[in-house]
Amino acid sequence: MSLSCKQVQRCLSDYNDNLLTEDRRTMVACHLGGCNFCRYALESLVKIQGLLQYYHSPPLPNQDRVFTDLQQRIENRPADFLWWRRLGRVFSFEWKLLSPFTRYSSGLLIFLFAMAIFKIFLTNSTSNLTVSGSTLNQGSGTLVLSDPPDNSRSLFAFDLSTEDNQRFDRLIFATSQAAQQQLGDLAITSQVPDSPAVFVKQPEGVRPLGGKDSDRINFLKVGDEVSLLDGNEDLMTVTTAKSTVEPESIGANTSALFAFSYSAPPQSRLARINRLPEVFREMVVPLKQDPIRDTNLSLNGL
Amino acid sequence: MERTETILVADLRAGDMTALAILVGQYQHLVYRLAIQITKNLDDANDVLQDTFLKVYDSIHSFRHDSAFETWLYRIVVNLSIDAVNRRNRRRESLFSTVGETTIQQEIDPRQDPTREAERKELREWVTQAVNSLSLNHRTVVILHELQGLSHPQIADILGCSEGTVRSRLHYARKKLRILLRPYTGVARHPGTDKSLLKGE
Repeated sequence: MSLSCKQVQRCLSDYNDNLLTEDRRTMVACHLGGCNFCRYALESLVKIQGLLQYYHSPPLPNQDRVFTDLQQRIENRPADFLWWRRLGRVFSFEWKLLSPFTRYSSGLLIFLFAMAIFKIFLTNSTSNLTVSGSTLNQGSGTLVLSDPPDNSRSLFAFDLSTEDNQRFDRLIFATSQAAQQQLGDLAITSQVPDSPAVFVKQPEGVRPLGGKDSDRINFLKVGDEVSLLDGNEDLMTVTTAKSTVEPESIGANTSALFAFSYSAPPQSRLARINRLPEVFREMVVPLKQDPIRDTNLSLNGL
Repeated sequence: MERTETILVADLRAGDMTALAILVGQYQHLVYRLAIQITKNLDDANDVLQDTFLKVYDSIHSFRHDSAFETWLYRIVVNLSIDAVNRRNRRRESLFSTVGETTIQQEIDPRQDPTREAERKELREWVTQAVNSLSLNHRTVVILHELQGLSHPQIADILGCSEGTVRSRLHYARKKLRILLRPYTGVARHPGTDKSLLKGE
């Protein structure tokens, strides 16, 4: 098949640079043998290459000063620029050298790490209430912290004569109720009846948390030993206990966080606890059928 | 002992300024020539020359020897030159400035035949004008291929485009140069060719 002049003109530049395939090159050469115009076009291309040697570019003036000026520029740069430059060298990393999978995995890990840091920051930004070190004033029936935390809004040192503290009292009760409803027979109670802990008054007609026939419920604190209520006497010890609540926001949309962790839960109970991992760790448990609650309270873990 | 390019790069990475001095001495003419050919402006070329070696000094730690040092240097010069042209275009200043007669006249050797020298001067002016009238993309490819003698893959690597793009740009640039330099190529004109050639631009 012979090529037209138009086709040859199109690939003349590649022909001149020897970039055509052998077949194509033969076809173009065949055409050039019989077409003066295309042959002249090729000749003009070759001549242009020769003419381009006349393309003028003036020589470099002051060539001895190039490095001196450069050195001066480098030395006159601000110190903080050099500091950033050194830091850039330390952290310089050729991402191109990694495979796409490694690259994207690394990016995902960095993102997850950043999210975890962000979550920790958010968690720490709330006010924490510690239940350790609290004592009960038997005479007044109020709870006093022996070692009050710095947070002056700590509601664990509450005085039931104030309205806010009464509401928090109800909140704790509601939380206990929710725990009982949510956890069923996994409800927990203190083994030491008069231990210095947070007490919640039990209204009439409501069965105490844990099923004990008592008029008060021990709220867990650090160091408490707890057992499950299915007749097993395995004990666990509360190692951390913290609660987070915004006192001024008790009411509509209040969210209370009561988090406990246990040291070495018995193997026989581990499976049961693991069945409810969200309750113990992250899941927000909505309060249901709370007889006292006048607001939408929610519980996050117990 | 003469230091090889690899050793110079390693020394510069370690902060040895004498290595930078040697590299500047070796490549300053190449960088300046390329910068002035692309920018067509003496001031811009001087800026590109300084900025190029400053960039080499700052970024030498990122040079991984996956290409030749010269190719890496070309890439920096071309990018800085294109940036300079674009900056100048944005400022809407004339591109045709001092790269012209004054500097050419300095090169005329009075010992040579004046007539012949005048012809050479005219030819140089004509060719320079023809190349300078190409678009920035076409001019860059012509300079890198025809004047610097780089291969198509090298140009593609420097410009960050495909080899096909390089070939295409070279093809159209040559087409336009054929028209602009016809008086000097002495090739017969084909009816209707100019129109079809210029359509490619």
